[in-house]
Amino acid sequence: MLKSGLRMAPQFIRLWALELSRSFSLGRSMLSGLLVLLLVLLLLTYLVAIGVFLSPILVNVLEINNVPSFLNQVLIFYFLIEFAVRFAFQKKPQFNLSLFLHLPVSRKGIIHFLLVRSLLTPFTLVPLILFLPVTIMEMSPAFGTLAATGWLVTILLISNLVHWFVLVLRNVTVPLPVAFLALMIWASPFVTLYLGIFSPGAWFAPFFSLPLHFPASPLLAAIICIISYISLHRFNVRRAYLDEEKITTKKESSSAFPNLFYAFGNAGRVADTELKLILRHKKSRSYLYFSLFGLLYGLIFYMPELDSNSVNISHTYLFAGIFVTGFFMIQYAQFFLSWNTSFFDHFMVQKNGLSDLIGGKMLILGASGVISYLLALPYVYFGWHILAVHTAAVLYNLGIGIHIISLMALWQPKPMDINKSAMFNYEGVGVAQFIMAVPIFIVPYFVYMPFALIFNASAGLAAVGLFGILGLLFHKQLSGVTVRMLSKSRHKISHTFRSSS
Amino acid sequence: MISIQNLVKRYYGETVLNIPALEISKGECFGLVGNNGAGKTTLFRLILDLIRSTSGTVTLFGRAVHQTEDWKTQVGSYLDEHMLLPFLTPDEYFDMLREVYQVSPKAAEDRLRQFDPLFNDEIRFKKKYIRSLSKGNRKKTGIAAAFLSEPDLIILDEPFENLDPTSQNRLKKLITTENKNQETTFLISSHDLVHVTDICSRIVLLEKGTVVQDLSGKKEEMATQLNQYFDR
Repeated sequence: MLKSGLRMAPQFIRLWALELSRSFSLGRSMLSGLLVLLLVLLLLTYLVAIGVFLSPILVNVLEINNVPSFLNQVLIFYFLIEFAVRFAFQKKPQFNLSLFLHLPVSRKGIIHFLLVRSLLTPFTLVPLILFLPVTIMEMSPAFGTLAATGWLVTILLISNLVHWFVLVLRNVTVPLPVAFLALMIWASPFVTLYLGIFSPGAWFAPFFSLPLHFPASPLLAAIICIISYISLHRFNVRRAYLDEEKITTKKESSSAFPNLFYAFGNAGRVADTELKLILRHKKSRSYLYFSLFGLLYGLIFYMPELDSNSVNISHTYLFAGIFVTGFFMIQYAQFFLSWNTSFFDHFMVQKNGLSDLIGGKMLILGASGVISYLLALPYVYFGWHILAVHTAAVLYNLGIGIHIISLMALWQPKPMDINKSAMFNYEGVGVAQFIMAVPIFIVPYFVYMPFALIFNASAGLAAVGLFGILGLLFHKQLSGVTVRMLSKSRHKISHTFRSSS
Repeated sequence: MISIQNLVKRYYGETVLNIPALEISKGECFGLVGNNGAGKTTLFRLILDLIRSTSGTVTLFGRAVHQTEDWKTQVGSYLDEHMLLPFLTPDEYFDMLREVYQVSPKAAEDRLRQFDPLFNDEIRFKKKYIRSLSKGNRKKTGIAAAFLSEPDLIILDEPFENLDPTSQNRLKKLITTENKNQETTFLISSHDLVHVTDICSRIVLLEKGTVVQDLSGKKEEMATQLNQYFDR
């Protein structure tokens, strides 16, 4: 008899646990997993606090008389933000189809299992935590328990809808103009609110207050949820074939490719190959695109400049500067050697292969830092001091940060199949990756803080810049450390990569 | 048992497989030969519904493979290492399959006993994950997995590749015994013409996705025909 997804679920879960516990990079995964867990718990605690105190804050601090009406007006913004956060952090369900497609396990069942499993994320809890207390304290007294419950259920269902929508988006690749247009549409309610043209909140409020007046309306939301689940399921079942990838990707081009790093000898040759690797794989390409958005991250920090008209250098600017000029570097170096999983032995059998490999990676990472710095030049609009911040940050990134991140990346590198990117193998930009990058942000502050506190922020930046220049001067010695570390663990890494075919 | 009608598979407008009609009946030991890129693995993947055909259908036990999945309980297959769970030991993998196919522990044990000569004490009861096995031993694990549930049809892609000569002969024995005693149908692709002619009652030769020869009968005659084709 064919096994359904439900019958297979315990089996799948057991296998998942085994895979995790037998992973070559168990220590690495555990540490980052633990950090993520702590972060999630911390955030959830905050959310519980916000949820519980939401109604007193609204009434007493913001002096809002009609809380239900206010909530209905802000819900549209809540969902827009929920969508953005989910889109940034929610991973696509991962599953290796080739292990089970030939077995008597129902294809539909596998997809059911995957979709249901995808609900096991903290995001599912967020709306409940945020809105349950306010439902009890404000909605229930005003509209009765039944209507208030309907209101909460509707919010949960819409959140669920957002979940499925994000999963759909994970399956489609859109050209850049379309993505830009979508971003515009997403941002337009915020912009219109900011400019005061009209209030999108008031526009959507009647829609969200519907369940308070018509108790049957949550049913409608439930039906929409079920329909989207079914269609998403169908969509994925139809795509659950091994060659789905091949059908959707275009034919490879093998056009002549300029050897940009030719002047750097053997390491340059590695860098040129690495560049081809980046451009010819969907996964690495997506990091490239994502880096463009990383450039915009500075806006969050520098925006307040416009109002204040001052030239204060906030201590957080250094963080922003490192982030903006090093976004690609941090992202790409998280998988430092993992990118080369399938041909690591190629470097093992060559004379000086490993040091060339490290040299080539450094070239790529360094070039990405310089390019990001140049692309971030328009930030001068916020004042010349931003340029000073970026200059110090990029010097630090190239001189010191690059070595920190390379060394960290050598610890239990994960084997990775870069050819698998579509169908349930998209690894997304997980929180864990950012956490592995924490040292690169903390170290410069040890240099910056003393000078910034004794003298001023400019002195701190100068110190960080000099620190970076020092690193650049000793580049050979510093990368020598990484090369030696790699040489020491090369057999282990090579074994790990070879066994993961 | 297997019936193929107007089966076409195209990638980017390039036809990689085109078989107007092919019937394989129960109990046959069907060999598939052809040079690289002839479409052997593609045909197997289409039969197993691992990829979708551009047009045409494969019918197994009277039902189109893409319309139902019931046939999967009666088919065992091993095409490549992607079918193995690298982080399990072979014993754990067999155990998992046993549960998936709902085979009793006793039956599975009896089955795996038959593989003792082939395994040569290197697969079972060793604390070694599949990912650390040699290519040959992974292949043996995958082949045993395909046999495990005593299916009516077993599909093996290049089963002799990576095996040492002794293991190749032992595997041949396993296949012929199974084929004779249980009337299990076999679909086997191979580059080794000697092995294929030894064990297969029918051999189909693929070239650029089409059937160019469909041989059956005396082993010597099939061997001569094949040698003529490949000796170019």
